[in-house]
Amino acid sequence: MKKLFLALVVISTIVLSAGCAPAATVVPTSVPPTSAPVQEPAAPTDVPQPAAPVEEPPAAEPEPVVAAPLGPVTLRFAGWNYDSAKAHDILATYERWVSTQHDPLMDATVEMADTGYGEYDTFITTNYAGGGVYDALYSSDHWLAKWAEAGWVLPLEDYFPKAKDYMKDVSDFSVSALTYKGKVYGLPYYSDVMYFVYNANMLQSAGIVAPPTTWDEVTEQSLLIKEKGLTETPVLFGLKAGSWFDEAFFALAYSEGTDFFDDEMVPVFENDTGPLFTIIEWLKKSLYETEIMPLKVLEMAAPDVQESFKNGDAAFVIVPGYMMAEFNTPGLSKIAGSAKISMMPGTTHETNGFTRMYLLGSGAVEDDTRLAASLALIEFLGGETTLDGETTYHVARRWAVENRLGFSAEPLWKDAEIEKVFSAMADPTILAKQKGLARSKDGMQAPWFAEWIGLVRTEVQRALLGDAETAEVLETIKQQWVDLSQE
Amino acid sequence: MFTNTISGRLALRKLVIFISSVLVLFYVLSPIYWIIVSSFQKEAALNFRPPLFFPNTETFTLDHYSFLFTGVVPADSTVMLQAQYTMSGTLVYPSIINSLIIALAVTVINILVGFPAGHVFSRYRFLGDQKLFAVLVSTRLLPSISIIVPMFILMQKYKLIDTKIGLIGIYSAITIPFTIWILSSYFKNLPVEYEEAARMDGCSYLNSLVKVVFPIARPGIVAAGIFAFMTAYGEFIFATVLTRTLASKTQTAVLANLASGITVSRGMISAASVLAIIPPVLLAIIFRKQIIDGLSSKLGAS
Amino acid sequence: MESTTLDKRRVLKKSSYEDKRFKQTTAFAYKMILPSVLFIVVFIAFPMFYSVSLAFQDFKYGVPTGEFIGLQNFIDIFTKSTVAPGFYNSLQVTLIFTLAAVVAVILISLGIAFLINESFPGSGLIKVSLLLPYAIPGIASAVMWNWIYDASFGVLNGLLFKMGIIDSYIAILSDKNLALWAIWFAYVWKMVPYSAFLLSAGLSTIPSSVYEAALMDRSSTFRTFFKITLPLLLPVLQLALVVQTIFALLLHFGLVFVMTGGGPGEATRTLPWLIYQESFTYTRFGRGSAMAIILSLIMIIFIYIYLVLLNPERRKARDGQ
Repeated sequence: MKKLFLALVVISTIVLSAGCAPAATVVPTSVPPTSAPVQEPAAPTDVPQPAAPVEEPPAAEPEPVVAAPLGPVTLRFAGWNYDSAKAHDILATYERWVSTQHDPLMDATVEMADTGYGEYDTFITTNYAGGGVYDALYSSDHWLAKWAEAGWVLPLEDYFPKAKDYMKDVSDFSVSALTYKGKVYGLPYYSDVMYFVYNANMLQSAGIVAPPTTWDEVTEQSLLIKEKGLTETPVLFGLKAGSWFDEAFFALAYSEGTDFFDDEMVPVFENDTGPLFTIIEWLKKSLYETEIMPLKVLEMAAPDVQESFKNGDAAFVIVPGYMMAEFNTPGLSKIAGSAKISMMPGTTHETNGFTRMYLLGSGAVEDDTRLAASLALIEFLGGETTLDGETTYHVARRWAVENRLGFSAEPLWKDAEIEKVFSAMADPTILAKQKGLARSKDGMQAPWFAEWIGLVRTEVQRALLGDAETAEVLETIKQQWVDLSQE
Repeated sequence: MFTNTISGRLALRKLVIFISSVLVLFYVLSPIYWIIVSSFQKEAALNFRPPLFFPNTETFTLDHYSFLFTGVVPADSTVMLQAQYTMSGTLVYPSIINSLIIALAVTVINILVGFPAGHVFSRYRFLGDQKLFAVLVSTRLLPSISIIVPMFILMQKYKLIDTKIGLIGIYSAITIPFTIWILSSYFKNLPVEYEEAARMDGCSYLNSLVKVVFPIARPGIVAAGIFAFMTAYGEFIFATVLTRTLASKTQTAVLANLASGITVSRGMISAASVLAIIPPVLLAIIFRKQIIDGLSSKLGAS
Repeated sequence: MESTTLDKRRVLKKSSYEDKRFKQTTAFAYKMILPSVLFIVVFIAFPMFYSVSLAFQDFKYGVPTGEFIGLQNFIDIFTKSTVAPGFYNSLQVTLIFTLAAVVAVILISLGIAFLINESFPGSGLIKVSLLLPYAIPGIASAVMWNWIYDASFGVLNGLLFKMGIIDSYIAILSDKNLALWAIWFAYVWKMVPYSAFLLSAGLSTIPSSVYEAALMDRSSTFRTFFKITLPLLLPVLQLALVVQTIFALLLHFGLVFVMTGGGPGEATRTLPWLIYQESFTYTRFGRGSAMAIILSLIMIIFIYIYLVLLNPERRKARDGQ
């Protein structure tokens, strides 16, 4: 017994001493680097991983001599784990491309750290606030302002002027999403628009000839559908507190043409009248008066709406475009073939569009080789490159064709495969028309947007719960915006 | 009256025990039952209203489990799984191993280090004992989310990001104060006579600890050990942020990543959760004698 | 916590022998405690101090501004219009939740502890099955309960519907009156097993002879419990109360994160959720840390109440015996 005890003590001592590197001088390096390529806290070299990272002393300016590839360099890349297998495969393609077909040739490997989408913001925030850096990373339009202001990501166009040219080919709502303070920060990864989707068979069974074009018509048709006993919950929107709330809420607001702020970031919506007021009142009425929308929408995020709609529970939903594929695939959905897109009902038929993007991390400027490789990576992922003789937006196309993810690069619409895939999903004319009327979220350009939108979710839910009058709520969120902007 | 006789009281007691056992088992096990059942049902069946409480031949499937081990998407999957964590999904198994290693190490450390400390706190008065004890417990008062950023900084300095040792260290530091507290309150109720007898017989302090106190302290050790193990096994916040690469994630991180995704397959996550529960349960079965005896041994009866 | 009799002796008898023994004991004690302290210093000390120091710093969009602001963060939390109303609400929600959770967990686990302390056929099964809720990682449990409560396909709704108790599915997590209690129930379910183990270990230190004597004296069950069991159980019960309070104040976070995101409205916006939002979503680390300190202060108040409320009684009971 005693021997066992001693053995355990010895083992633990070894384990402990192996783990504790000298830590005496722990001076908090609290300041993450600002955007200028200034000296940084020592970049973390990860504990030995398969591709052991070795940093190069700053390489000389890449000379147009064909022979030796630049590097080696290992890029620190981060993203969320949507289809990680494919993401890793794409990175492997990049490694092959940049070492054989890029000019200049580079010996670059990419290490991707990934985590769930729900934890991604926390993950990156902790990482950067803790002094870690990335060379390139995924991001979303609602995080850009925050991260850019903190200096965690750099203006892409300052290092890669071609980024500005790319904006000409990018959908309008994505351009504003990718830009912060007038500079282009990233290239698009996946962008999508909130579409108004209806169950065509259900409408037909109710004797409805055409989908609704105003919110009043939505009410009428829903009541009819309910009367015919086709479903108890004709209208399902994802209004759970969280980022999906924002997508649905802004889509609804834009459908009536709401303008939240003017060019000077001053709130311009009215409290007791106007489009924003109207749409919130409509939501309240639908919950309690006409009862065409159930209270459970407050706990449903878009994926929950997707499940219910696939199950045939609803007639009208607002969902991102990529869900159309699943709605209409037999075997995956009970209503396959019946899901159709129509223009967003309302006065202006506008909707909300969101963009996920690739950003240049502050770590990329540590040395020139790293920077060159990072820029090459971003262009490979989000731009137009020549791979194996073909010049197109390779990565965007792959995501679109294989996973039905929406894309921002307008030229891709002409691609034959893409046309085939997307026309199978929905009527391409409506897709294009609605996309043209899509706007990215007003106010995202302000670094305090994240804080404001958190308050908006709570307040609007309170209005919907009947805890506060709509006018009161609108006044509160207006005041909060003003307060935050004045800090 | 019946209940006034001793045998009557005993019989009533037996009845109460029986009924409460049934109630407790139902309360504790029904959600677990549900998650096990969900993991064996086809995704489509999980959308029945009301859902089936037991899979029938049409809805039974092993697809979710096979997906977790092989990454092969079930042919009749109703969720677009091919766009889903196909890499993370197959990492549930190695991540469970990671979690196990970490949790076991933390438990061993806790017992080794916390046992003498807890004993000393309970038996002796010494300079600053109350203050030191308060300081130890106070390390638990800050929520993990508020110390996560400086913890990240620290782990970077130690070069322990993305390692098991880093997590072992953090979890040990988190659990030791409670282990000490649990053991010291437990020891306070243990009669001192046994140890004093051993010491008078010439046993050294450590010897008497190991030979005399350890055996009779089993319930406390079991309670402390279970606490340390489960805390380390199930911790989520540090694990998610301090691990980066798929190979060193713990099962809480992988489960969290799976569950917070853009679309979610309930069957798959149920299967992943069931896999995650199995190791602690297996350990409990292996050590059941210690646990069972440990939690109900009555002094004087051993 | 310690008895005072030994201290009195120490004061009265200041012999050199006593002093020497005391010093020896101290040195020895610290030697035994050293490894524990080492772990804590190496891994927790810096994060703790750093986190506390953050509370006094000004952060703008994730970057410290370097301005010295003293207690401004704290003042803002209590008075600023963009923070204070949410904060007061979170205090209310958190306190209600904590009280309800601690009471439920202690009562239920005490009952279960008594049960498993007996040996009867099947007691082993109960002990092992108790491990299961404890073994499920918090996130998995949160996701599981989220589905159980699901308003469209959840099994709870299914069960109630099948039993005829409701005629259509209820949206539990969207109901501002039910949401917090739904979280409470899921939380209690997960926490009870461990507390039961703890209390059962404590119960096991009470010699069976005590019970037998009480039985012989024809002491009723209630009297036995209050006059004999409870006082003897007190140290472990104190521990359980403190532990469960700390847990209740902190560990419900996973549930809120997964199930409600703070909603519906403000019904489940607890203080830990607020801390998370301030620190990570709004990148206001300074304010987030300040809130965390306030949370810790609340914990300390609770702990103090337990240790003071329960102690004098214990001393009285000891002296009275």
